[in-house]
Amino acid sequence: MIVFKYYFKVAKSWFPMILIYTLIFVSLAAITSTSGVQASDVFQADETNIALINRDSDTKFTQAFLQYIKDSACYVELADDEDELRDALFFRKVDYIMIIPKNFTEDFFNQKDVKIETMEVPDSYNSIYSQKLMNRYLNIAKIYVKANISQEKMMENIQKDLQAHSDIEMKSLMQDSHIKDAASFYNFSNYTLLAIIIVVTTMVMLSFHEDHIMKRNLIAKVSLSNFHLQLLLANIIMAYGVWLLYVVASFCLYGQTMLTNQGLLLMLNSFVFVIVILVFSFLLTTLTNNKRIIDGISTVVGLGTSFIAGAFVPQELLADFVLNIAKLTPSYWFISNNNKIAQLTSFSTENLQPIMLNMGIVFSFALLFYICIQVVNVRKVKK
Amino acid sequence: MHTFLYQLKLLLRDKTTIFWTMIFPLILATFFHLAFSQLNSNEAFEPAKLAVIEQKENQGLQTLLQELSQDNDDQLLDVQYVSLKEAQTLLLDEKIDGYVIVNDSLKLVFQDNGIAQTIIQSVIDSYLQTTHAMTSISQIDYQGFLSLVQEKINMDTNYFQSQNISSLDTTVVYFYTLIGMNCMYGGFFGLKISSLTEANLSRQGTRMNISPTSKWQMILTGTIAGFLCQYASMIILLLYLYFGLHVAFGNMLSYILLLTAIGTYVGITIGNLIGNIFRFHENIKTSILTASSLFLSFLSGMMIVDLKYIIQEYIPVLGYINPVNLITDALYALYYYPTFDRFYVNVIILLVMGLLLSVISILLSRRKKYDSL
Repeated sequence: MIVFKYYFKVAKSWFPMILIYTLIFVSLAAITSTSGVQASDVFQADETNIALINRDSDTKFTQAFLQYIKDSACYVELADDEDELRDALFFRKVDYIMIIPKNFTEDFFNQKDVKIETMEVPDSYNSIYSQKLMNRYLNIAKIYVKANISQEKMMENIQKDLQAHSDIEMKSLMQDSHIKDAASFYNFSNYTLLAIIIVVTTMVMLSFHEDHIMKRNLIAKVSLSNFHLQLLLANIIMAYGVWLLYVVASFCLYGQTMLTNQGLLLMLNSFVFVIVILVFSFLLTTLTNNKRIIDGISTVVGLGTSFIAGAFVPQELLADFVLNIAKLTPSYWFISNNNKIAQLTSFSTENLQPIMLNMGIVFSFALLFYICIQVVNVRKVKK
Repeated sequence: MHTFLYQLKLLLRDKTTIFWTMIFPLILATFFHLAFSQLNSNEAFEPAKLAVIEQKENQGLQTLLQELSQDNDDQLLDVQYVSLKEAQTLLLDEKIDGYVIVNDSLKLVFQDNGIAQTIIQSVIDSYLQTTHAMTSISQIDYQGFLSLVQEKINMDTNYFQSQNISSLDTTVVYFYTLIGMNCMYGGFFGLKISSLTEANLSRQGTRMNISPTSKWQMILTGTIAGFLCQYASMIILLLYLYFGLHVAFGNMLSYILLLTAIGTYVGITIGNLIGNIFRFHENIKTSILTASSLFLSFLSGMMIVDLKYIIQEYIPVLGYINPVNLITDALYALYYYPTFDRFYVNVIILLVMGLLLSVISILLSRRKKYDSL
């Protein structure tokens, strides 16, 4: 097992990089999954972020309006400063900014035509919704004014009016809230698994391919087939070692969820995906011995597939033509399978069939790459 | 002039550097474009799909729903009247966002949380609240109530006037960070130059050092050569972004060219500095440079756009000493701000940074003499 041992001696120098990648990745996953909304069987309205800049004096009416914002939306406090308002809007810290003009309260009660200036993202869901929400308060206030009811009485009653809410029933689909996070963890792992496994296995393999080392190995006692077998074994262990690291990380983050059938399917899915990565790395090392070219290819493949196949931006947000290109990569099938697994509600054969089919497609990419390797090798021998 | 030409040749022959500075940003930009092409339209409004089951007729609600589902720009709802059974299947198949059962009271049924459901809830709530308000008024002042009913009051007055802010496409920031990152990749050339001019770092450096050319001249010509290479790749990137991918820049071409020139200069000086400070093998220096420019881009929002804003809000200093962020922010200011103040602040800081780094670099490398080569 001398080759096997030597492989890991070389691979050792890559361990810090593997650890750094994994740590960054896991901490990113931890941040994003804790901020997610928990699914529940009680309806939760989406709260838009609304800011109020009051240039009127601090009247009872504006106070009540502010209270209404706090009750029905998420109030964001911003300073009355053009730059700050603009930045907050651009980065969507706030969806709707209202600027109450001077003498607004007085004009409103005198039934003058008053307007509140707003800043918002045009035609977006959140801004249209916010506008409706805020208009509602002012319209109800308006009818009190028209009916000539005093300010105090109006404040009293308007509070009660706005507490009238519809009766809502949630027909919830039974779903584990963590499974979606786990699926996006595995989606994101498309990038890290590709980047790490390709770089480590190819770089170590290339050091075996160096001319003088290759020659030395050829005259050694270990037979060529044994030599290759040991290398293969080492590569498999290396790749699945990295895979195991991620599985362990997913257990740390999502615990029990990973032990459900869905969790196990996610693991199986990525297990199959690692086969493809491994065969692909072999293909790279048969194609070229140039470390820099492989470095470039692995970065481009890792980032590229992650962008177009839905690891970074969810698949439902990608354009159709992008997804069609992505279908030519195994990443697409791996990621769409993760999403399908997360949506599973029952485990009938009917439901599991498409998932198995996707895994089959991923595996057939491995076969395809393997055939390529053989073709390249046959050509090399002929030369 | 002679040294300049040779330095230029040496830089251009380094295929790896050319790949990372010229080709790689183009590839990355393409991926950004593919990934974000539909992201912004996703924010755009689509009517919420609601099914109504009328177990009891409700004229008021009917009129309201009809008004809201009129086919115009403000269409809020897409309403269909069905039986309870149909509504249940529609909901299960996700053909509708929810349904409402109209009886003495109103009951909403959803199976998901979301913005469409929120809108439906809001519409129904507004109906209930208006009705409630009318009842309250009739109790307080019946006369006033009667006059309201006679007047047929409009409950849909719009009290808001939009400032119509445009240029709110967040995805441009990703492309801006890419430009910032590519400026930093000018550091590859800076690094190369420092190893070409120091005798202990490369064979060429050794030869150059025993020649009568002054160090000043070597560094100056090298920097100019590096600048030309990097600026050329910047322009290719900008052309590609502008004409190929139609990234919005706010039509300020000359300002952008100025900005990227300064950015490139800062990038080269950073590379130069890394080359002069550390005593490692060139490959390790390249890794340091790649890692640090990626990290700086990360802090400017390349991976998560919000990060740029968070840093600006809570640790603004970090934004001002990060060259990638300065470049990103300057481009952002050109795109989004009506005035140039913010742009100039960024450009000036960037320029000062570049000069400072140059001075340090020169101080480090001057009077370096080698006893034996």
